[in-house]
Amino acid sequence: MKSGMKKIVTAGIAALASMTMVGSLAACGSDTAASKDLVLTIWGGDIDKTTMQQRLDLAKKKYPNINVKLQYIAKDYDTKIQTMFSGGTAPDILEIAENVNAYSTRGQLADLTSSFPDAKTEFGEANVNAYSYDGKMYAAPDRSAPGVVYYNKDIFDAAGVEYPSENWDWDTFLANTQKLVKKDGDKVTQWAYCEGDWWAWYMTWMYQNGGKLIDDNGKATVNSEANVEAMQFYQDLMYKYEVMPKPEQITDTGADPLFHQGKLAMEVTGFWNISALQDVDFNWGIAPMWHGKDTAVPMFSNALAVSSQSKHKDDAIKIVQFLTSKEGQEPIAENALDVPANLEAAADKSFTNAKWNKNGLDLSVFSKSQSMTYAPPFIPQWNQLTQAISDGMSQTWNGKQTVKEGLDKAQKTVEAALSE
Amino acid sequence: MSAVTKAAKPRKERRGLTRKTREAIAFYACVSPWIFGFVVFTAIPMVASLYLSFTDWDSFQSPNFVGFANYVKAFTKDPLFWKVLGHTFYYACVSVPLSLLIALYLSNLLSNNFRGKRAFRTIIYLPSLVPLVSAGLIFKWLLKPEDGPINAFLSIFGIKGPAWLLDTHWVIPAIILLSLWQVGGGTILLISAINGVPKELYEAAEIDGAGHYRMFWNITFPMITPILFFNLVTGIIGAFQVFDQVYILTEGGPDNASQMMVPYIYTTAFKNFQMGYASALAWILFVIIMIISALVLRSSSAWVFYESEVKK
Repeated sequence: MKSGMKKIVTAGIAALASMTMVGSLAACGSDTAASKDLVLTIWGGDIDKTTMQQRLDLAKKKYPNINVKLQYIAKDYDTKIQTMFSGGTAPDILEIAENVNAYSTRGQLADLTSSFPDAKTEFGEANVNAYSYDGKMYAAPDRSAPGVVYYNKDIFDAAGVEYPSENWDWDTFLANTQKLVKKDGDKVTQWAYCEGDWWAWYMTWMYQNGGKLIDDNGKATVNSEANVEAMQFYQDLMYKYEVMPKPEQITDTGADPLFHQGKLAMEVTGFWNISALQDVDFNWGIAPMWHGKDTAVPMFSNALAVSSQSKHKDDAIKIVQFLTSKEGQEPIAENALDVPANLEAAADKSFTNAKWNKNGLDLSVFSKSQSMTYAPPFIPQWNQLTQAISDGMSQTWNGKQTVKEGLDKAQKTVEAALSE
Repeated sequence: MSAVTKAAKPRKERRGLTRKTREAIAFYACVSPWIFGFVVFTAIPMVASLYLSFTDWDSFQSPNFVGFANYVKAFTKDPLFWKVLGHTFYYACVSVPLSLLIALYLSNLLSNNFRGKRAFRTIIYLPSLVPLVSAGLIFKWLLKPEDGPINAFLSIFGIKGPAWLLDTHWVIPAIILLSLWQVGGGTILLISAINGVPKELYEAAEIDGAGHYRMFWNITFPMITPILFFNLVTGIIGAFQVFDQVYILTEGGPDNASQMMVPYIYTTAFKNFQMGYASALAWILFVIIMIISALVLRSSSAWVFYESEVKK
């Protein structure tokens, strides 16, 4: 009996403990990290780690007196970073992306505006806007692969369809997808188009249609006419024209594997796909994305920010300046890790003529697409915004609800989140 | 902390101590790591979270006291709270009795003497050793709407299976299915309980002419009620705290149809940066679990049978 009770008590608080430890450890942690090394945190895999270390080694050559320790966080990056900030042991420099303004508006990031006077020419307007809030830049773009179209040349040739280009509009896109789909009876054996269910994809259709999620005054415009129209087009690709798989048809695969299996004519995805496609037995190419009423290309980017808790802010900023300079970005290109966010570095031969480009891909597609990207609304409530849309729209993608119903539902949730 | 110093102090004058005192010292010395762990990792965080539940803490800026606002928000303003709580009850109320019944049934079969019983016991227990993440991935594949094995099986009988994880009505049953897959742990406990029932009871019953059915209800069942009770209580607590299954299979989707309390608390704290509100939700869950556990404990005197109590 007694042990049962004990079990209840211990187990009952397990849920609390994980959260509250954050608070209690805050008090005792603040002084322990008083080492003179700067700490830089990154997420990703082994290649991310080695590349960043190479870049830090270059930084060390330029600034021999500044020591930067790379702290690689393989799992639960966001949770761990948040805990480090609450505990007063924030890293001096941190890799950051969508959450940038959840941190900046809470006073956790140093204002980098004056340290990057030429940011907009250095990184492009969209990228700088994405990492700015109220006109101040809080993180320097580090890596930014625009989404590009990967297409299976064999499928296009067989169907007699011209290769994709930025000159396609939605009508061309739709007409061509219908030629690229192949059916065996009722079952589709070859899809024309497919994409992921992440924000970068659905949002791009909205932006291409002149839509936005948050207007310039900070109001939610999730269910605007432009967005409804865009999502209707997207929905029709699945249910009306059947050129794109419905969610239930790709529960365990997704766009990238379908493409790798040669069962998909084209997809829009990031730079990472290149190395994944090295061993496929069909011909493929890349092209900039088509356009709607507007040109809009999604950006898979991340940036480097300096914590306002840092005791060595000036040194940290120097390091970030170097890492995002052409020189500091070179290992990104050399290691085929990503597209450098520094436009000069992305257009440089070290990237476009990189040694690893054995297939003779036109890598200038990436720097060309970089100039076509839009700035996603990285508002402080970004997670609530994207969650509201995926919650609201999931039944729409499953074909159980209209587009308008889904976006109305999301609009209501976002409005509530913004007013809190 | 205090326990450690208390235990260390009287050590100098050890020789003069009575046996009772010495035993007490040994006791506190032995449990002190646990007490230390409890205080640092459980009690203090609990107190902190209770305090934070009355604040608007976002985990960065200093918290402002907001009174009962977070609790009021949960019960009156948050459209997700009741939905999520409902799902959690639904999950607990179905998965706990079902897994108990299945464990009871399996343990009865496996406690018999038959060839290969060890092999069968191992097979039943094996799923409990598979990490939930792997199990979740296997289930995603099993539950594939179009050509997954489960729906393929159903189609033999002319049944068109649902889209499971994409269907708002079938997603929680699918998660329950995953939890039932791990019924082996409880089964093993029950097998040992059944094997521990004194043989002479059955012999006596047999002489009295009792059949298998009566022997089960009048001997086996009462004798193993303490273990059933243990499984019930831990099962209830585990079910109300379900996290991994939801996180791996659906992340709460579609449209929050499978969202449960603990993943919701996690999202609130670490995705929405509402640590204060998350603490309030955690305390609400804690109180709910306490009440239900207290009710179950209360009920135990009516149906849980302790042999030791009779002997006295």
